[in-house]
Amino acid sequence: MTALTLPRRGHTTLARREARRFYGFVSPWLIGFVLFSAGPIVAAIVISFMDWNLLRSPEWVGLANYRRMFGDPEFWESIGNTFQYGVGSVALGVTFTFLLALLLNQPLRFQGLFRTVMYLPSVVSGLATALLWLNILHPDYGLINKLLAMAGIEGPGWLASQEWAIPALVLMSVWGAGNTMVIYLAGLQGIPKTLYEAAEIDGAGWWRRFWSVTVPMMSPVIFFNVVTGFIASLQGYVLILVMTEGGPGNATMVLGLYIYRNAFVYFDMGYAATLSWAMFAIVIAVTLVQFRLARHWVHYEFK
Amino acid sequence: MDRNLPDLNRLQLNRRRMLALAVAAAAVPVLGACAGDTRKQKQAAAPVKSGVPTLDPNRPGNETWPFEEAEALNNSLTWPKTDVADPASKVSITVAMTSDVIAEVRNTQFDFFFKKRHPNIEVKREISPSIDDFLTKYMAQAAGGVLPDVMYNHYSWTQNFIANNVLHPLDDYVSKTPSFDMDDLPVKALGYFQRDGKLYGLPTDMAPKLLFFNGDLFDKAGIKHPDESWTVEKMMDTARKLTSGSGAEKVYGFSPMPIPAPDLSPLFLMPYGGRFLNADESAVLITEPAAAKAMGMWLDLLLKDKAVPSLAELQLLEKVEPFKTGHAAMHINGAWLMTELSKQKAFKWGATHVPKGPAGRFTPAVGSALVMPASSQNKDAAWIYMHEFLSSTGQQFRRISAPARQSAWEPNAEALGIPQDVAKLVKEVLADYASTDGVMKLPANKKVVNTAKPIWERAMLGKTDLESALREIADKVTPLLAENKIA
Repeated sequence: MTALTLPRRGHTTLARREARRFYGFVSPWLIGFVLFSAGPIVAAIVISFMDWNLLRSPEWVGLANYRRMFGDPEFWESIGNTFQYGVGSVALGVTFTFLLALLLNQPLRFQGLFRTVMYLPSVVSGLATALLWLNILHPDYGLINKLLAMAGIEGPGWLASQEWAIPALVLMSVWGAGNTMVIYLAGLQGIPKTLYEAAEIDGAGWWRRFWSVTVPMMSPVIFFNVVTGFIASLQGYVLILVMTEGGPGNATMVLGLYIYRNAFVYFDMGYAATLSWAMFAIVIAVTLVQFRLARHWVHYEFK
Repeated sequence: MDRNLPDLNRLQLNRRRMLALAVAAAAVPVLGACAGDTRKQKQAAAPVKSGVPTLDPNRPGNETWPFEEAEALNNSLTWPKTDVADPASKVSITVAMTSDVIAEVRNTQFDFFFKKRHPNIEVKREISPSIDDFLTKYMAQAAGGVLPDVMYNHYSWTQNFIANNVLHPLDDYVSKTPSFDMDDLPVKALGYFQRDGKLYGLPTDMAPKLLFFNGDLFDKAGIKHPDESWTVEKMMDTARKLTSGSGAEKVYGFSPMPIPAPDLSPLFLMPYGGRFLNADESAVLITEPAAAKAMGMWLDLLLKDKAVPSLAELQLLEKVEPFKTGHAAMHINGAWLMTELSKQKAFKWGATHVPKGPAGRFTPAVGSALVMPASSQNKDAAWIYMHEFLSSTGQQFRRISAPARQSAWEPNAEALGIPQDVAKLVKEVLADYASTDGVMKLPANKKVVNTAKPIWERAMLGKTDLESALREIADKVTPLLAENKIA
């Protein structure tokens, strides 16, 4: 009997051609990542151990920047503000956009138009969004306070109030959540119709079908939006920079803005790099906690 | 069939629908932009590159600055000479400035005629419309060891550059230029650019802060206009009397509320013998009785009399200075405000000396300079450019509203429609008492301001009392001042 010898994987012409194509296709991303992401990430680690103001050579200071960070009251204040903003914007954004997606999933006339309208804020530029919301939140003629006044409620000063500035920014964060809504819509359309039919045959009403079919089937999508939304809100600062510059009285000084200020206003690059690594550690820690908690509420149909 | 069940055929977002949605969404801002303000489009009729109109290289000019006018003015002026020789062969210098679109046209015309006078010096301009972007860009370039030959400098940056050995001293070049008239510059305002007896920057523009007033509001209330005899107390009393109305219609007696800004001391504390920081910016003095008294007077004017805009009211005003819209009777600002006020017809305005206090009258002289980085490879050519740009002739050609050259004030004021009496007042103030004393200029100045401001804002919101706020400012600012110890 003649033994049949198969060529080893990677040694055939086809395998080599496939490998060349694979590396050809991934190389733009790989080169970009190494040059523009991995390089700066490694540099940031090194810089975090240095005192560097850009004008003179960096000076090695060991853990001094890290010690300074732990004793810096503004750092802790910014962490508190960041979590207030993050929890608020994720809770409101995830809930609101999920409800919106449920509504837009209904077979209605002009459904495409409604979806377009709801998605539109996502394509508006950040600066335009900031200017729009400065008007909506205006204490005197802003839309929100006008509506509150119609209900006999005197609206707060919003961005000029230490207590209401973060809630105002949380409200604003929902404005551009069109992408989240699109992800929910895709998820809703992926729920097998047979599950609803079976539930209906079992006598399940609207609420039971929602709670026992829609929510568990959507839980991986909700989880995805919670994780990515929280990471984005922990890092976000641009709109806050434009709208409040961290005020009043540091009430909206979030960690991203504090890093920006140290890097590009004070040019204290060592400390800014240290704060950036603190932000990275926080993002990793929060994400790990979310993954751990996800075991208790996220349902995967196929494992 | 249950209406809640998803109808997959109808709801599926196929590729065509997604494309249609994306096109519709993308079209909205484009259409919106097309329907915008056409006035701006008319102003910038020429093709625009990076915000600056693309000008004819052989006849640079536009509606605001016609080439013919620039050429006639250039020919009518006598350009100064220096003993520094022109380069024997072609050299190229880079000039980095922050400039708006309108001023940049004039600067381009300056370069055009400069090159005619100095054919061996090629000038490359680098422009940043935003002052913050400018600093970020050139700090990054400094880290890479590449800086322009001539560079704009805000008064609050220069000491940091000097401390880090980035700049080349200009004294030798000034001495090689007999016609460089130092007496024509506001000598008391040069402190921003000097260190250890050396001069590292020469001012392009320099102006004192003045007390501006809305003459219509004073006349309506039957109150005499402010003048040189006014004290801070009289200004505050009058501010109380002139405050009226509410909401968007409110008129404030004075604007803005003093905050821990770099010139807080000369404007609001030194008239009472107080200071925010000591003279060498190494200690906080704001908790001392004289400074605390002055800060308390202003806090009362805000919280008790509501005669200055609060933080909430500033948001109401969309951060537009109420004096400029006729909603404040008095306002302290730099003399450069005259240009803007001269163009408006909404109200009658005037300007006078800032009020005096028991310890005297003080005002900051603030402005910007041109500096020469030590890394420049063409220092002689850079000096020839700086010399002409900063000369009285250069400042008259550029028609700037607050020229550092005192001899350029009257001709520029006349050309810009600024009343001559105000121009004379500015020169008088610059010669008499405007100075750099008390203005924060050392490296920690931004950190000091950004640390103190939120604490003071809490006092302005009534969340903390005066004494606690000032003590907290002192506690938090003191450690930052170590950065001001320059070797």
